[in-house]
Amino acid sequence: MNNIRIALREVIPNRLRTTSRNQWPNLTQTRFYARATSFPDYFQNPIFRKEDQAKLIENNELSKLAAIPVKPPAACETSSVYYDPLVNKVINHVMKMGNKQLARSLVEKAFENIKRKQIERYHLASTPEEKAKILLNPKDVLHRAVENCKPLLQLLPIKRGGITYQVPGPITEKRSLFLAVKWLLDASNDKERTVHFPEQFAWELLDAANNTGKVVKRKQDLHRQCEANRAYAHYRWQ
Amino acid sequence: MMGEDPETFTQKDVDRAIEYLFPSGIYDPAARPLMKPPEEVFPNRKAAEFDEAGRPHHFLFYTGKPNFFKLLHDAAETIQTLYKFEDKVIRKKEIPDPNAELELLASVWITREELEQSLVEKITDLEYDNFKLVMERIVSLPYSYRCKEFIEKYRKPLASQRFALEIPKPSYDQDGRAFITTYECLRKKARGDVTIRSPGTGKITINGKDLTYFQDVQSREQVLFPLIFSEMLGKVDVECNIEGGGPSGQSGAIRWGIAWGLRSFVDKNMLEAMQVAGLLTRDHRRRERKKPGQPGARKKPTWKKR
Repeated sequence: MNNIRIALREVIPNRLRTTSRNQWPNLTQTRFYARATSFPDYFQNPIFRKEDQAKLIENNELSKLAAIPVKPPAACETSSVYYDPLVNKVINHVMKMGNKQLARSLVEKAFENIKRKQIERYHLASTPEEKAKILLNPKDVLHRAVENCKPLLQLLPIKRGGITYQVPGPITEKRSLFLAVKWLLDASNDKERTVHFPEQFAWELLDAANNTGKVVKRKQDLHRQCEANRAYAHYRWQ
Repeated sequence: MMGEDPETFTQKDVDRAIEYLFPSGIYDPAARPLMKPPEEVFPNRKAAEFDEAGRPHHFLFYTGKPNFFKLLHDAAETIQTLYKFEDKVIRKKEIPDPNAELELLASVWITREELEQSLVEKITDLEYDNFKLVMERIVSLPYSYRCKEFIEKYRKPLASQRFALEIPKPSYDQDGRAFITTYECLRKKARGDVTIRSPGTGKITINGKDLTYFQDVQSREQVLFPLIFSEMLGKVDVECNIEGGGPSGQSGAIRWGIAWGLRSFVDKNMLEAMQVAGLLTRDHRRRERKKPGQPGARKKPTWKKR
């Protein structure tokens, strides 16, 4: 009670209080949202695929990670067996103006075309050895095609003495994947207007999976150029 | 006084009385009248720093920020003792105890404001970075667990393990089937409720229709995601009422509702797996508003020299 009597004297309008606390009013403009538009940076990325989680369980890390806040998986991610990160990546590259539904339908149509062609080839093949060589799963075809299209080197423009040299150098995993997918899509979009995208994309994927075609040639051209410019390699550090 | 017992009159009652006696129309709650112990109202202030002879008490007074530099001094001393201890152990040919290792994943360093409050000193960004650097240095040492108290004084736990608390017990309907209803399933502008019945045949009802309520495959996959993940597909029935928003928001809301309801029907290991998969995290993000003077929320107009 005594405490309260002392406190009674301190009934102060809060305006006084706030000014005494922040002596300098906040003059800089700050963003303030009623609801957050993103997660704080201590939120970890989710591990939602069963095979990735199996690794965690093996290392006994699952319960440790369960104590950390985790972001929810994106709307396009699932733990279903039909989900493939590379396919998702390709869909995102095909996508224009955020129309994911259309992009996904185009890629799936291309997969359907691949499946049809491969089954036709499978039935045309005469010997069991030839049949075993044919990839029937379109996702396997995509994986092999992208793997065959990935460049191992890149050319960087570096200016020395007023002249820009194309200097060969190593390439990161991420950029080589980006270039592979970009080249595949460039090659597919470079077509007659009467040919539809899924059809052309299916052909490009089949060619690249077979280590032939425009995209693989483009990769080899880049490698040849790198080989020719190897004399400039020292410009990377000199 | 006012028919209240002064012995049991708590701060809560004081707040209520003030709200009644001084009704305020001021919008900001921080600007309304209040009656609290002064130490809660006014920030901590430093006590007198000099003795009668005019000499400062604190040995680091002339640094200008004695408390902060004392903290760094303590940290450096800790590092030295840990080094010495490590040397001693190496001479004995032993290794650090692997079980005693610090678990720092579930906590973060206290913010600059909190550090300022605890030290009663203003700190610049650079000094705060130095503080973090020296603390990280301590943590990286193999025997850092020996000064656990010192480290934890400056760490703040993240919200965690909330998913495992208070899992509701399912109720039973006339057929003897367990059911649980999750209300307020929100995502973007969509809101609704999800009922899970177990045992079931895998029937999914969304606003009276089946899974074909959603036109696109992606939304259907999202609804099935928690069921596939927890291997409950075909073992439970799901009924949802959802309104507002588009297909992506609605399917996201249902996904969270199903995952939240499934907590009552799965074991602890699966709960942890679902937490790591992020299925139990409520996605509270909303569309960011467009700003005046620019075409979108973050997008700026193309820069033109003239």
